[in-house]
Amino acid sequence: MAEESFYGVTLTAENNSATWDVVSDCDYPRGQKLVIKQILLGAEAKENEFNVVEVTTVKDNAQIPIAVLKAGETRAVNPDVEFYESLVTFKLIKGSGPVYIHGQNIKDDVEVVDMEEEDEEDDVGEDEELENPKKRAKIEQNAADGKNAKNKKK
Amino acid sequence: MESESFYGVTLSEKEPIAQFDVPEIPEDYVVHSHKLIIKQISLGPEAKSGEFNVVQAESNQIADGEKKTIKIPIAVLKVGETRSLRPNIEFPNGSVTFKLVQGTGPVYVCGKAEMNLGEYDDAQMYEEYSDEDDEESDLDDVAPQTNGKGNKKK
Repeated sequence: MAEESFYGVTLTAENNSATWDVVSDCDYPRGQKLVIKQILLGAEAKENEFNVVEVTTVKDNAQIPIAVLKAGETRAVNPDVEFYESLVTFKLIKGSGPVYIHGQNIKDDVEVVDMEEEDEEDDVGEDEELENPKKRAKIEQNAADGKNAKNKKK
Repeated sequence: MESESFYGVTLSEKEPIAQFDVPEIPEDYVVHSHKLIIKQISLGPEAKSGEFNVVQAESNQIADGEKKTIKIPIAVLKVGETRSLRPNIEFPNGSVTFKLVQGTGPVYVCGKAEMNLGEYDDAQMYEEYSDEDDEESDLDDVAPQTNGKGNKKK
């Protein structure tokens, strides 16, 4: 159960940086991450001009380009990178853009679990949460069979 | 329980707009979440040379209790330069409108729509499982371990 939202920002010569800044919720600290899926060069970008997007993170002390685009050569890239912290900055360090950054914001849901409950609810999937010992035994038997089969093949 | 479906629309000069609405909630379930994933956007063979084809996405979502609208190009295609893109962008929990804001196309937008049905609510969950018990009780009476009996998981 996670909260997701679309993330989209535009970098241009005039507005050449964008920051992702998360306000942490103190009552229920949640894992948050930003995933960058695509970085795209606008139609108006100048031909043969390199457009470079650099990312800076505070926690990992990282500063590195994640996109190098050029009209006529590379229109878009798909980084599929993730940032797991509260302060990330994207900057157009070369070129005048416009450059569009697309991705999503994902917030883990923090469930308050009662540790006194007997069932292994966390690791087991929904179907197996059933309090049916026969079913659980069947699953474990199948798993054991699978293991044995592997050994025989060796 | 998850519901997935293929999503595909064509944008052209005559029909430049395609709207994806928040899916209707089927009666038995409370939709927990849904999302639209855009996997590929490509330019048809009839597209004109020297013309940019730009697809813009307008996403309306509710994040943190607020309504948020983002309007941003997600594809820039051009004959001889970029025939297709694979954005792999997700639009969770909200409606999206795709518009061909530049060029005559045709542009094909493909992806998938996912719906996550069912609630993580104990009462709801056990209600569902009591239905399942009725269906599967026959199998359990016959043999606790039903290997090879085609026990298909729902």
